Amino acid sequence: MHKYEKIWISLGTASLAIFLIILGISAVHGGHTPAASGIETIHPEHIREDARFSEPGLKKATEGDYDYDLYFIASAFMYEPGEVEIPAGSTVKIHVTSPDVVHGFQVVGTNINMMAEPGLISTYEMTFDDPGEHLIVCNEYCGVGHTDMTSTLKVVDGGTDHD
Amino acid sequence: MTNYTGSEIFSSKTRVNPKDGKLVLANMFWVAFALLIGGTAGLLQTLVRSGHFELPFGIGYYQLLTLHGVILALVMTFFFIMGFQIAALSRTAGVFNNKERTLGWIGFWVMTVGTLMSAAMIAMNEASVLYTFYAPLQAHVLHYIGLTLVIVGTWVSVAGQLMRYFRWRKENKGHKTPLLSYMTAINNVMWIVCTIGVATTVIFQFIPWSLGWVETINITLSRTLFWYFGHPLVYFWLLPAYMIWYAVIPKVLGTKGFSDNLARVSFVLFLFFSIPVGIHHQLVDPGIDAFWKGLQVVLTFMVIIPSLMTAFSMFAVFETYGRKQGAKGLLDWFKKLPWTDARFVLVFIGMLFFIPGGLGGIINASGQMNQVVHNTIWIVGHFHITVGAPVILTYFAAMLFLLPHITGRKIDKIANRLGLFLAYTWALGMGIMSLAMHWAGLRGAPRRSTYSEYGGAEVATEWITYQVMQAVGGSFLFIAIIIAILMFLKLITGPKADDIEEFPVAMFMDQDAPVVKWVENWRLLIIITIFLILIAYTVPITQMFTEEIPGAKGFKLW
Amino acid sequence: MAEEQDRKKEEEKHDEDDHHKLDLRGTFMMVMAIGGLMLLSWFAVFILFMERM
Repeated sequence: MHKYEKIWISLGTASLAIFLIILGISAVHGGHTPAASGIETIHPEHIREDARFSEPGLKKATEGDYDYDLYFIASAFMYEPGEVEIPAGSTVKIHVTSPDVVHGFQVVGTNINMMAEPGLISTYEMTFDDPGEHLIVCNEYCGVGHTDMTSTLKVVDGGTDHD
Repeated sequence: MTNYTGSEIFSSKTRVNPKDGKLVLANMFWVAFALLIGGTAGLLQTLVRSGHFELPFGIGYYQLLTLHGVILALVMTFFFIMGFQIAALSRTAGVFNNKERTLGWIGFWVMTVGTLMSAAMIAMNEASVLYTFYAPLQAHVLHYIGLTLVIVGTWVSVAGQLMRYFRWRKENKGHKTPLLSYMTAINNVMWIVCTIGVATTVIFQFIPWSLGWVETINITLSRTLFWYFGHPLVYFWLLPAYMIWYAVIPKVLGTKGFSDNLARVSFVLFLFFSIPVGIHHQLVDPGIDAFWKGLQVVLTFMVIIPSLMTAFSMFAVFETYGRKQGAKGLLDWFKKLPWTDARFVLVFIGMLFFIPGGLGGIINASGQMNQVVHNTIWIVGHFHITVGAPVILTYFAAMLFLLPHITGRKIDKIANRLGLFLAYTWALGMGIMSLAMHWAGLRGAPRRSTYSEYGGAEVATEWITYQVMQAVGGSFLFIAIIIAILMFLKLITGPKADDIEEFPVAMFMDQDAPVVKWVENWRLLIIITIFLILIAYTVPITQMFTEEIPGAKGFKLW
Repeated sequence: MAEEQDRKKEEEKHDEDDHHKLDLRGTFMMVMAIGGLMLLSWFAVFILFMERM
């Protein structure tokens, strides 16, 4: 091997290792594991009989170290709820599932981007600090009305007991 | 003599056997045809998304998108790869025997029948499920059977190719196999191992389910089996381009390749690490534990290393050549490169695209960072500057010498000039389109979506500006495709030449160095490949059975 | 026989093609530039990721 080749391969591999170490630290210590990881099942035909999804939307958390649970049903071709308000500064655990085909739950301008699949619940925890409005789209093809699937997530000022 | 073992491998006089040539040519006709159809679909898609065009005759956007994906990502690439690999084997290992060639023809016809079946289902709007055909969207059973036949056809053709390679080995025990032949064998073995995944899901899940024999389908499993195939698929496209970069381009320059051994080792690394990484396409899927996602991210990063090696050896060849031509400074060897030879220019522009293409790939595979770009149009930008530029431009360069080589002609001035126009037009169109896609993607624009204002959302207005840019790029690309078709026609018509165009095969600087022994120890290679697959997939796939994920019924929502 | 002669010629050339003697300063610069771009682009998106957290 040429001297320069050795240097290049070593430095290149070292950079990749650094990337992996940063990702690892962010995942383990920052709690940033990839969205929707883990296996939580639900029967796709009985979603609405499930207490959590019977009335999708924002609910005060009863357990865990976060403030709210936010339940979303992604179906062809709509999101329920069609609009949701979140108090700024609160930590929310989002749960999404589908009664029909695969959808892609994406809150534009945030890191919330995960697949919604029938039979499984996708979850992601996130703190909303800055007030503002986010468009929610479906980013996995689900049929002819795919781009009609939208919702709005509004982060609004005040009214939070958590800082 | 049926096996090439010495200088004839590198001789400019050695030709692909005419009987093998016919088979190669048959495959290449499909490439040109698929390119035209798929390219037209692509143009129309960018026009629709610009908001200034509506599809006529009741054609659906997603129907068109399905056609675009299937005909380009699967059909065009498969026919090219089969054709090129057969040519490479016939050129460097020696003529196929009847049995091997017959397998090539059977494979060709099986692929043809499969393609026509799927195409008919797509045309009838019975299969608008995109090329990834994610369940539980349910297409007509004939679509799945058609796709299966396409894969089975490649198996038959690959069997003939592998038999050719192993016959050379058997008849020349102890010798190092011709590099190009060795590389086709690596690509083919990888292909057999990875297509087992997609064949399993289609035969045991999709077909019984779409026939109504079973009511539901395990979609987590089907997605995982698809991507077990779907990532090596991209290396199946890429490795023939690497074959040309390593073993053909140095000869085009009139110089030697950098290192035969390094090329072989990098191909072995592709065999090992291109398969146990499919879950990096499912980083934000439910149903898979974070640990296994992380493990496959690490394995994915391993597959970057052979591409780092490739980058070095490409520049090394160019620099060494330029210095032999008298270049003295740090970078003036660039000026010495053959900028008027379309074979070189097509490939070189492809290589340039592969730099941002590869870097984007590292970002995509970076675990949680995938959430920034997942299913946004950034991803579409990414694969258009990987498969849609380096790979396809290298395929064009290969056709530039292969078509006249086989039909007994020579690249004339006009064909060469068309090739240069093709390269520059493609670079312009793809540059504009992919840049717009990358930027829009970072701003959240979703992929796989028709034109939409998303209820007048502000951010969507911004996306549409980028979509207009994509249509501009797409239009240039369509012009480039027309140039490509004209080039193909020019190459196979006109007067025959006495001095037939060569299929360039380069010697390497370390041609006589002893070969690294283990790179042709197939038993060892396959054991390691399977071992890595078992590590990466055993637990996640087992969990898909044991965690009792409810099955999903089929839907036809288009 | 032609084959053997070719081989001999190759062996003579082998020396001059020895990798260690190649002047690859330009190659080194190009790959370092690629490495730099790799770090730059990766960290740019990583920062975007952290900002959107």
